[in-house]
Formats: sequence, structure tokens, C-alpha cells
Amino acid sequence: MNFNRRAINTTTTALAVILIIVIIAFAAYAAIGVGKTTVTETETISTTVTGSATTATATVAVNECPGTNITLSSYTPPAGKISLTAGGSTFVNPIMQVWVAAYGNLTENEAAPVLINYAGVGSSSGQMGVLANTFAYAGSDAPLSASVLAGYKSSGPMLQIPEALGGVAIFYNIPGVSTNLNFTGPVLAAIWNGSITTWNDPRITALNPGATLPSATIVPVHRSDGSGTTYALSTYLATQSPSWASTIGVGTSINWPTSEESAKGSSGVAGLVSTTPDSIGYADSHYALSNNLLSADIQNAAGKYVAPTVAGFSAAAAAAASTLSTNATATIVNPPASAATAYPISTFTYFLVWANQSNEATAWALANFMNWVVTYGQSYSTGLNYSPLPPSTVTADQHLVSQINFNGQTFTCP
Amino acid sequence: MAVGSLKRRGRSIVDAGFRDLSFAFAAFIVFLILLYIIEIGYHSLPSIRAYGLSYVIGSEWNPPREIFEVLPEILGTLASSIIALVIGVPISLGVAVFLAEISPRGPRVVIGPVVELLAAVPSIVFGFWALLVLVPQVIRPVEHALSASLGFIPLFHGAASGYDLFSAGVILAIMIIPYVAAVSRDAMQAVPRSQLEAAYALGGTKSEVIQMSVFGYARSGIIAGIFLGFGRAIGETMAVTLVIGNSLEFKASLFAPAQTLASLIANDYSETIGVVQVSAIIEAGLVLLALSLLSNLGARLILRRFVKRGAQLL
Amino acid sequence: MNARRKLVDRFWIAFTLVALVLALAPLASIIYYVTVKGLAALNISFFTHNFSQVGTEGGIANALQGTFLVVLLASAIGVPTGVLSGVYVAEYGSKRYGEIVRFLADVLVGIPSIVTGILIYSTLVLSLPAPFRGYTAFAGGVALGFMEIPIVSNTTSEALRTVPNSLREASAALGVRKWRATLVIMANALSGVTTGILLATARIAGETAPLLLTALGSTRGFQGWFQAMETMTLFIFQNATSGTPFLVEQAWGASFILLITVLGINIIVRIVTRRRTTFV
Repeated sequence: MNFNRRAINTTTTALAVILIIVIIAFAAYAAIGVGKTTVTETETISTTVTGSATTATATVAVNECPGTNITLSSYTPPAGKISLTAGGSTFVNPIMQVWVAAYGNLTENEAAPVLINYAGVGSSSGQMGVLANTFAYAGSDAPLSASVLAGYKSSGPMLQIPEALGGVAIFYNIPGVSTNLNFTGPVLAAIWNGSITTWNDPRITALNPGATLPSATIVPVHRSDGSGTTYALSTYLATQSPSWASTIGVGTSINWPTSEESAKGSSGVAGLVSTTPDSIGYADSHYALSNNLLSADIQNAAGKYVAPTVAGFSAAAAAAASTLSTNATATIVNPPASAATAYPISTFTYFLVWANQSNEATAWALANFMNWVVTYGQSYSTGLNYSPLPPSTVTADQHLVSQINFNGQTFTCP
Repeated sequence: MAVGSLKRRGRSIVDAGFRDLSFAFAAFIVFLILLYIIEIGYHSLPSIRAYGLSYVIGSEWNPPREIFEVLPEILGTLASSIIALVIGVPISLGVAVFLAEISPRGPRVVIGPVVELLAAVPSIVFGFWALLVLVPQVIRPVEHALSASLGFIPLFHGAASGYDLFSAGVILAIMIIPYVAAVSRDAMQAVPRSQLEAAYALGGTKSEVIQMSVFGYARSGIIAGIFLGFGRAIGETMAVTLVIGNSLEFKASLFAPAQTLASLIANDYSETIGVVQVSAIIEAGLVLLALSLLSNLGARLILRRFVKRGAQLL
Repeated sequence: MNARRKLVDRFWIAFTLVALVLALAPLASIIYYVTVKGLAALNISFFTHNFSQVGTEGGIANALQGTFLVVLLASAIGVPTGVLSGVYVAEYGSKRYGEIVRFLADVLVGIPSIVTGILIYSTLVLSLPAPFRGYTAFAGGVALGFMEIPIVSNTTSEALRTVPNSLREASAALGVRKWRATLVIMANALSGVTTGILLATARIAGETAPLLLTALGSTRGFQGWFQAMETMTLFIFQNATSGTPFLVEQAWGASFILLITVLGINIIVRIVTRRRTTFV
């Protein structure tokens, strides 16, 4: 066969060479193996608001029952890497990423390293994922409603395990304002329902005599995706404004009244507020800190203006301790006046995971990871502006985690 | 001779095999388009049965309350694409005319490909640049100026924060320019020289010649190009999601945030829980598919008519 | 010629020049910003660390790996199917059938990428049985592959069409088997076919929307075809909106790498072949 010589010419050769070089370069890159996980046990974020960052004690073995001298049941997982995909709340994302990376590092030399990939896609998407079994577990700041759960055939209960305690910060970007403003619940409700439209509205200036507020139009920003943070904020605003619950509602997606801006994810809201003058938004307090945005001090039931700090979240949880003992997913917003230092928009955030698992290695990995999170994982909390879980919650959580099973085989400490 | 005996046996097996193999792969294209329509249609059925016509007529999208209505998103899709055409088509035609009629040969060889390079930029890079450069530095000042001076016109109501329908329209306009310009330029370059020479002979200036001969002759090609640009605009997701403000309400104002079908899907695809509700988001994909098929079919049919006509006249 | 007509003429010519500047300015601006801000983000850890949303040490390592692997799978699906389909349309199809396939391929090219994402989301991500369901690199590759098929089919059939018929007639006259003749014709059109493949690959490497619904994104390296995976485009999307200065800088860096690769392929292809675009 006589190929036309002209066809195999410089053009084709050049193209072929380029193609081969590009392919080899990428293949080499992929083969070398990729990247280190970037979080070490000493990973911290410097904060301008809260105090010290802590490091975790990294030398503890992962299958020890903390606080006891008991080691785990002698169950050995099948050898081999366990890769899990999980997703959900962006509220918990900052600390969740630290947890999965740290746990991956801790287990990497074990027979069965546990490598979890958590995607911050919002609480609603997380709930959907775990219900549809596209996520091994979900992070959610909103409890899973019984009616939604009933719509899914399941072979057992869905465990809702409080994993972190934080607060919804209200942050803003007002040119010329460089201080933390004071807000009350009713004023916040009025901003987001459109009754207050400019920054120099008397209701705002009355709370902030020292600040010069411009006459610019306020641009409120909310979450475009189903959000547990929205759930927490709307639950709080419903207690502050009589009409809020009926006109706008409480939930992960609500009837934001005016044609307001919205963005996907907590980071999207923080990002939009960063780039939009005169805007105001809400997200877990960590996002305000990492974006250098100012957070507001919110007036609590005791009349004090409280910043979104670790101490404030702990005080709110402490005030709700008796309710939480019977209902672990009860809301803790709007603590009573007896909690003088409580931050009014605090909230827990939860692991959602099926108790009955269909894969042995996955069940083992989930149980041990969650057990580690609620105990040793809490030492990362204050460095990222979350409060450590109260001891009673930790005990209850370990009890829940011990219900994770594969065909009745459980994996962790009692 | 071995070869001769093969020939005498009739068609060779390899021949038939090769033909059948490539036939099979070509059939895959037919299969693929059927797959789109049937799969997406099938998975939308629970939602179609549950919500019926209210899906495309109603105006509330509220997954927790199980209300799925996408009229605001349909309007947002159409509005942003029309704005893109209003801004982008004149620019594209100007570029096409320049490249086809005005530019000397040297610059044309460089400028033409550079314009087409715009089509190669990934849409997420467009969106990212728009989010952090175009909107804050160009669009927001323009919006504030318009809002301050002409704010009484309903079209310019709204907070003018920059992340709104207008910005989506502008970024879409930029993205469709290479498509509309390239197709229009091809159409203009197909005009026979005799037409141009006749017009010049009648004493026309360059722009008059272009208006008389080029636009008239190339009209259907240009229209096909506009349809192509429109089809591209209604389907764009990433650039639009980042700058459109993601509001679930459609307001007839350029400076109010909005939502398109594509950005709704990108925001909410994983939010819905339950068979009917998941099917509601897939139905949004079905509506978008239908819109894009209509637009593309329109463009292709006109283009085929144009090619036929051109072939006749040439 | 009177002065008014001359003025109008000058005006319209000026208009086309203004249009040209308006069309080219965004491209110049994008290249400028991506380069200036992107270069600032490049350092060793940028290329050796994985995507991380916390701390200041993340990088594009797993994103690069993911883009490569997902595009590889997409090409494995898209290139053979597209090329053979294009061969059929150009060489074997009866006028009618070949035209129909070509028409349908054009329509497929125009389908929004998010719709392809929805298709794969409902058929693979949600519906496959246990170890294969969920957000996977496999689903991402299939989605991009479905996008690549019609593009490659069109560019192949067009490249083959440019080969003069005299070659086909000569082969027939010589009694050469049709399949051998087709191979010779392909050899002649090789540069056209290869550039079509390259441009299609560059195009799908820049896609984000379908991957949002299929590959989801990941903070880890490749964990297997049936686990979620990060890509360059997802990396840019996830970091661009975050507002955290370090992450936004990383997004510029990733945009820079992606842009020079994609634009680089396009520019080289155009220089080497002086190819007139058919839109991929």
C-alpha cells in the first residue's frame, strides 16, 4: 500500500509530537502520584476575634476508647484503603475538612487507611445524598424531618449525631465602616424582609451611635441552595419577628421576600458580600474571619450585645442542656435571658448516617471516624471558632455511634 | 492470483466489516440523541404527572414545600439571551463586516483567528473574570450611572449591585460574539464578487455597497448565525451562575437579580429529595433541552436553506 | 459624491472598528488578569498539594490529575466513536442517511452541557447499583465523552470531505478495496482529523457544568474510577466564589494553567494548519 507521502508531512508530525508530549507530561504527573493532604495536626487559622488555637494530641491510637482503659472489640477490618464520599453542610465544612484530612493522616499507615472526601454542597444536598446512598454520611445543620425520612424505604434508623457547635455570624461590607456594629433580632428581620432599606435607617443608627452609616441601599444576601444555616437563622428570626414565621417561614429554603441576591454555599455568600459594597450576609462565623469581614454583635435575651465567639456558643448550648438531653437535635437559638453571655444564633450541626450499613469496611470506617470526631476531633474546634461539644453531648454521641452496624456487627466503644 | 480470487468472490469481508463498524458508530449518534430525549423525558415523567402545566406557568420554586414552577427561570433564560443578542449581534456584525469587507488581507489573517479564539476560553474562566473584574470594574459603575440618571424607568429599577440580569446578558453577549461573527463572516464572504462590483459601479460608498449587496445576500446566513448565538446563550451555565444573582423571582428590570434554567439546575440539582422532586429538577433539564433543540433546529434549517440557495446562485 | 454620504460612510467604517475593539477587549482583559494574578499563585506547593479549603497550602495536584484522567476516559469514548462515525458519514453514508447523521450531530453539539450533566446524573449517578452509584470520575468521563462524540464526528467528516474526489475515483478505478481506499483518504486528511480531535479535547477539558453533577469534586487524589474526583474546572469554580483571598488567588492560578493549555492547543493548531474554524 502506497500512502501518499505528502500526507505524512511536517504538519502532521508537528501535531503528533505536540500531542505525545502533552500526554506524556500529564501521564507522568498522574503517575508520580498526587499531592499531600495539606492539613497537619497543628493546622490552625489565626483569628482576630477569639483567643488561642489549639493543636490536637496526635499521638493517640485511633481505636482506643477514650476516657477508659478499654481497647476496641477485636474486630479487624479487611485490609485495604477505604475511600468514602460524603457531603452536606457548608457551615461545618471548615472543621470537617480538617477532620477528614487529619483522620486520613492518622490512619494512613494502618492496614485500612480511611480516606474521606467531603463536599460542601449544603445541608439539603447532604440530606438528599445520604438518603439516596450517594453519600456515606451527610453533614447537616438542619435536622432531618420525619416526613422526609418516611418517604424513603430504609432498613433501619437514620442516626443524627451532633458533631460541632458553632454560630451564624451576620457579616457586612459597608464602605467606611470598620467596627463591629450592633444589631437586634427585630432589626435583622426587618433588613431581610425589606422593611429597612438603607444603612442610615434610624433603627440601625439608634443601636450604633458611634458609627457613621451611609445612606446607601442595603443589599441583603441569602443562600440560594437549601441550607442548614438558613434553617438556624430563620428559626431565630421567627422568634424575633411575629410576622416572619407566617410570611417568610422557617426552613432550609424559605420565601425570601424581595428580589434579593443569593449565592450557593456559605463561601458563596461570604464571597458575594466581600465583593458587593453595602451588602450583608450570614454564614458560619469561620467564613467571616477567613474573608476578613466584620461580624455584628447581636443582642441576646439578656440585653447584651454578643459577638459570635466560642464562649458565646458554649453558653447557648449550656442554657439548653436539659432540652438537649431529651432531644439531641433541638434548636438552641434565642437562649433565655438567664444566659447572659450566650450568642443568640448558635447551632449544633449533625452527622446523618444510616445505622444499618450494607458494607463492612464502610461501617467500620464510619463508626471509628465519628467516634474520633466527637472525642479527639473536638480539640480542633476552638482554633476554627467552633465550641467543643459539651461532655453530655459527647457521651450521647458515642452511644449513637455505637449503633452503626453491619448485619448487627458493631464496631466501637459502648 | 490471490487478490484476484478475492475480488471474484464479491465484496470482501473486511470491506463489509469496516462499513458495518462505521455504520454502527454513526448509528450511535442517532442513538445518543434518542437517549437524551427518552431518558430525560422518562425521568421527568413523575414530575410531569404530578405538576402538569403549572410547572411551566407558575412562578414559585420551593422544594421544601414541593412547589416546582419554573416560569421565572424560563423568562430569565429568554431575557438574558435576548439581552445578549441585543448587545452582541451589532458588535458581531461589525466585526464580520470588518473582516469580510474592510480589512486588508494582512491584518485579516491575524485578527480573524484571534476573534475566534474567544470561543476557546473555558466558560468558568469567563465567569470568574466577570465576577471579579468585569462586574466590579465595568458593569457596576455603568449600572450606578444609569440608575442614578434614568432610575425612574422600570427597566432600571433595582439595587444595581452588579450581580443581576444585565451582567448575565453582557457576559453572554461576549461569549456569543465569536459564533455570530464567524457565521456572518462566512455568509458575507460567500457573496459573489459580481454583486459587489455592480454596486460599486453604480457609485456606492463602501458602507452603501455593504448595505445593498452584502446584507441582502447574506441575510439568511446572518440569521442562522444569530440563532446559533441564541442557542449558545440559553445553554450557558457557569458564567451566568456566577453573575446573575440567583434570585427565584423574575422582575422586568435589568438591575434585579434573576435566574436561568441552567443556573437553577446548577444550584439545585442535588437538593431535591424524593422521586417526584428529583424528577422536577430533571424536568427543568427537559425544558432547557426543548428550548435548545428548537433554537438549534431553527438555525440548522435556515442554514441548510442558505447553503442550497448559495449553491444555486453560484 | 456628496459630503453627507462620505460622512455616513466614515461613520459606519468607524463603527466596525469600534465593534472590533469591543470584541477583542474582553479577550485581552481575560488574558491580562489571568496571567498577572495567576502567576502570583504559582509555587511548588501549588503543584504538589491537593485541593484544600482550609489553611494556606492547597494546590492543584489532584485537579490536574483529575482533568487528565477524566479527559482520557472521555476521549476513549469520544474519539473512536466520533472518528468512525465521521468516516461513515463522509465515505459510506448514502446521501440521505449521512446527512441525517450530520444534522443530528450538529444538534447534539448545540445541547447545553448542563443537560448532558442531567442525563448522566439521572442515568448513572442516581440509578446505578451499589458500588458504581454516586458521584464518580467514571460518570464525569462518560458525560464529557458524550459531548465529545458529535464534535469529533463533525470535524472528521469535514476533514475527509476536503480530500479531493479524484483520490476516491482513482482508488475505485484501480480496484482497491474500499476499506483500504478509506485508510488512504484518512491518511491524507490526517492533519484535519487530528486537529479536530485536539480541539474537541481542549473544549471538553474546559467544561465544568457536567462535572458538577457527576464528578462532584474531591480533596484527595485519584481514589478509583468509582469515587468522586477533582478537576481543574471544578477547582476554579469552588475557589472562585469563596471570597477567601488565598483561595481566590489559587483560582487565578488554576485559570492560568487551564487557559494557557486550552488556548495554547488552539493557537498551535491554527498556526500549524491555518484551519478555518468549524465550531467545536
